Amino acid sequence: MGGEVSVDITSVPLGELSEGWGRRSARSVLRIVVSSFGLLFTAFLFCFLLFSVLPSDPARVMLGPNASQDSVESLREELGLNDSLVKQLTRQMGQLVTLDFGRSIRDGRPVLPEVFEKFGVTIGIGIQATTIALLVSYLINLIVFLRPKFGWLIGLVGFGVVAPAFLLAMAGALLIGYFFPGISLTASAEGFFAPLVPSAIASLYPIALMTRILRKQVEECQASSFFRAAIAVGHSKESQFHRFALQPSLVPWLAAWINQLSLIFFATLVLELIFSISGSGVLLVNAIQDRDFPILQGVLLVNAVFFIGISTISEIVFARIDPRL
Amino acid sequence: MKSTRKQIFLQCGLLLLLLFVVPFVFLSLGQRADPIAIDSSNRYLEPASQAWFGTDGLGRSSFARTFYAAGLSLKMASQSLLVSFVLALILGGIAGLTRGRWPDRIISWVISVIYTIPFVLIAVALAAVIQPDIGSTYLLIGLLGWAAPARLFRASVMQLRSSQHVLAQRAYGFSETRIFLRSVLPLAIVPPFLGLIYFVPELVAIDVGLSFFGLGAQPPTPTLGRLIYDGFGEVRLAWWISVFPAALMIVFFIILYRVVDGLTMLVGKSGTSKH
Amino acid sequence: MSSKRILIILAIIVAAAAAVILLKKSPEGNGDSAQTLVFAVENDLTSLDPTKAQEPYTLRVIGQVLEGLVTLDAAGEIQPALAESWTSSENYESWRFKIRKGVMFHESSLFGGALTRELNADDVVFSFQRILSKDSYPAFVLADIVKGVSEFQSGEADSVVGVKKMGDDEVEFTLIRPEPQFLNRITSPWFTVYPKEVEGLEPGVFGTEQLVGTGPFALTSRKDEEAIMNRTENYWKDVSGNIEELRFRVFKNDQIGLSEFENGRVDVLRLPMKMLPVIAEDTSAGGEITLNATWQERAAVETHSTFNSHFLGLNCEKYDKHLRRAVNLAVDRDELVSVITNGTAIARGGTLPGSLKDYSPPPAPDRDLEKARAELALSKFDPATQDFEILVHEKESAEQIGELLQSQLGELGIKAQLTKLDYNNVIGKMISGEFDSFVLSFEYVFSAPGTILNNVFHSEKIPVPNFWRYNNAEVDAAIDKFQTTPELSDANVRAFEIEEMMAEDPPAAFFFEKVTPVLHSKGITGLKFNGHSIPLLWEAKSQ
Repeated sequence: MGGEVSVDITSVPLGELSEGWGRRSARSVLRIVVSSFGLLFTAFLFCFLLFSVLPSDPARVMLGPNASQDSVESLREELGLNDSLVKQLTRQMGQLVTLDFGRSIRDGRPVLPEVFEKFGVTIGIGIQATTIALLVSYLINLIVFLRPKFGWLIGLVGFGVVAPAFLLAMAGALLIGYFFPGISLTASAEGFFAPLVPSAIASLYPIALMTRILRKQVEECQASSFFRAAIAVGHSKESQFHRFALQPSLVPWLAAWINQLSLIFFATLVLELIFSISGSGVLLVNAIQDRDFPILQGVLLVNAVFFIGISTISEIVFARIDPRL
Repeated sequence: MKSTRKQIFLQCGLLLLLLFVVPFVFLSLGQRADPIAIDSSNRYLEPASQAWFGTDGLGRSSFARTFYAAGLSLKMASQSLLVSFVLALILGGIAGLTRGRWPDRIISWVISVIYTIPFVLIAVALAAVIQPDIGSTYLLIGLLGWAAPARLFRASVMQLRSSQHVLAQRAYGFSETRIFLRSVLPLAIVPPFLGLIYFVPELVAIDVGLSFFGLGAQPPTPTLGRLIYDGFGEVRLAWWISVFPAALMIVFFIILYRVVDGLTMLVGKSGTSKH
Repeated sequence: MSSKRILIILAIIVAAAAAVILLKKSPEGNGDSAQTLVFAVENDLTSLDPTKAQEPYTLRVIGQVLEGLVTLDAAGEIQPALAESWTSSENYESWRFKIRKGVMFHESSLFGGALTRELNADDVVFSFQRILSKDSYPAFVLADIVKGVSEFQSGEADSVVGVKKMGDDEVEFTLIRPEPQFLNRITSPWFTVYPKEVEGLEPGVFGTEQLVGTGPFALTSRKDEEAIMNRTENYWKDVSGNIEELRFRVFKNDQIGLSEFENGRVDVLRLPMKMLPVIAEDTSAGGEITLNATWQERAAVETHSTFNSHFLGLNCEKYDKHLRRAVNLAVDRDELVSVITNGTAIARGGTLPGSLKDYSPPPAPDRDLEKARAELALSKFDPATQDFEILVHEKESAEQIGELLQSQLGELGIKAQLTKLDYNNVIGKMISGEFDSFVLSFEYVFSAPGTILNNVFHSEKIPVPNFWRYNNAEVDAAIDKFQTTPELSDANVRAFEIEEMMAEDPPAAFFFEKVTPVLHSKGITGLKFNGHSIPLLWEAKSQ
């Protein structure tokens, strides 16, 4: 009775769509599409609600504290801020349908390219960090499996959960600046691998979590009967690990990976502040402070799309790996 | 359970108590070193017998501030967690039990919405309307934090209810309630509980994020996350401002995780069927 | 796969990762190679369009690429730039500028095949019209003085009548009322000139993808984290510097900025106040900073002043002058200066900065708790029953200042409460009048005392930018007389008198005027700043 009764914290599929997934019928696809749109619409409504509820005035923010009330009024007229809420809502919806996300109030740049660019940076960090975590947790588990006296490694990386990400980031930045003066701490270097240092720091928490999870799964597999059978039959240690311990553990381990990826998103704010990275965390905070609603809307919707995307993909992947789900 | 486990429990629990709750109560009764008393002639003192943890940029006792902040953070965090946990069990449970039907649909949809919209945004929006103080802010965190553990609970419940163990019990004729309470609940509760515990470090970070918008504790009240973050700006000058709260926080988490590990081992031993 | 092989693979991966980190991470450009200067800025450079520039650090970048009609030099004197000369009418209500001939724009695809052309009066008029449009941040500087701005902004007119072309190389400004110090309004990089072709660009492109001007440096590239510019060959003025490439790099975190400076990757860094004790051995008011031995080897410090003022603003409609006087007497300026600025700032009793040309402000009041209590007794404010709220925010140490004030006012018997909101929220409350007091600072863009006083204290300016809602008829009358005071020395005398007048009926408790110490590597010489804190990097030399 292998893994059913002992429940691991991430051995479960994500999202509400898990029930219908075995039969990939047109109805399921339709359901996904409908619920996705529902989610997007909710995000949009929320943004609009936010806009009508927040006390400050985008026109005032744009013109600063020194501009006269008259100037602010003229700008409000032009931005359509004095129209009734219903009128503004319908106008916004109309724009969105044509994929016109408008321009940032703060610097006039078109919203969608800017949001994509910043999200890209953050996603890049997320992917790097979680992939590092994947590799490291795999390697450590392999080593510990083959040479149990290295078990202390698990405890070592476990340190990553003991402090929030920002503390690790700050400590990391200081230590690197002190001991490795050759490494630049800002992301002004080009290319995908530029934020390797912040990614490495961001990976500490996922490493800790994923190593533990995999370790726990592997231990359970080792206690099961079919594993002992594998030993009896004469499989090499490496084969034992890969075929009889790792493979059954794929679902919870990969689920943790996906989970971490989604979490990284807004957890990178402090990281971005420390390393002066221009990512989605800083974008969100600045947009809130500036009352830059076009950007906020863009961020919300892109985030929603991303979340839906990840959920759906992980559904498909997990269904493939484990048809029981 | 074995006596060594029991001992670890007690030791760690007591230690937690000593480290956090007692000084907090002590300080809020205004006995020694007031955590907000400014004394600008004694700025940036290094840790010494006069000021055990040194003083900060305004001459305030780092010792007092650290422990006060720790106690405050502990209090607030436990409030939020309790709210989240209870909500997660109730709502996640309903969703798991009514799998596929409308209660599940609604609850799952709400969970998705919470996941999609960044917490910061919701907090700022609500703050604009309600103007919360620190207590309400943490209540707010609790009211939103149930989403992730609820999801886990729901999934566990669904999975366990269709497991062979449970099917066997049903075949024996046990009532659904009894099955739920004795076979499903004890095991299903573990993942959301663990999830919430591992989330506590992030609560500290969320507080820092909120401070950018003037939410959470108002100055000069110290909180653990802010002490560390603000102290980082002066770390070359006065390392003690950041280091002591950070060390205290790390110690706290180590203890917490040990206790939690003990708990899960407890449940694991009685719940897992091995052969 | 044997375990040995696995370990080998492991070693390879680790080595590869280390190599990637150590190699990829050597950044292009530091202070040594080919006269490049790396200048640290504190936040993202999202747009270099002057109409969107809200922060001083953006102006520092813009000021290297774009130029205006006149400019301020390092000594605070007004110097001709794109305007060769100017005249004004007898009553100072009309100003005519003669535009310099032979100034070429930076090369750009904006000009089609020709790549460049000569600056003319049309460009000047266009740039000013643009900077006065309704969505332009700096419009407020000229909105109440230049004729026709309100009509233009409200849409009644389709151009500002007060800015007119008078021939190919002359532009005339017409004012609503006389202002002898009008030139002091347009010396900042906000009022710079760029080509008329910008009109045809999509909104949002100018300042992000394109920035074309006439300055000593031309923009090569701009990302949020870094802006790069190179010296132009045919700059119209002879300048002495030898910097070929400028890189403005963003460092949001002071610690990291300092760390990068130490490791040679940054040449110029504004020194964060908190770091001062680490680096300096001795500091004194006015910004005399002596570095300690370790730091003297690798760096030097320049201090420069800007027109700034830091204060606790009070709600003059809510509180009578006795309470305001009491607060002024209870504030411990020395403590504030020592704690917040490590002793480098200069204590002030009024808002006018001492860095204004030839101006010496009246001395700041000493702390006197007894007198304060006497004033408090005379006022209608009852500290036992009434609360006193201080709004603070995340900028410029407002929170720390608030905490100190709380303690200082506590000694007077006033129980002050701090409310921290984000900056825009605080501004919003100030404008709507929902406040008791606020901690704020101003960085004045006007370089003349009369203009400053008029803007912040004249009752016509309530609620913006007369945030404290100050309404004093005597002061109003005195301020109006600036219109007929052309000589700077007379204007300074008048300003001094007004500040003394205001000490009797203070709108706020002014604390201090900050100076800005700038750290730079020893290889850089000739680093100068003007009164707007714009570095004159074309004069700087790198060895």
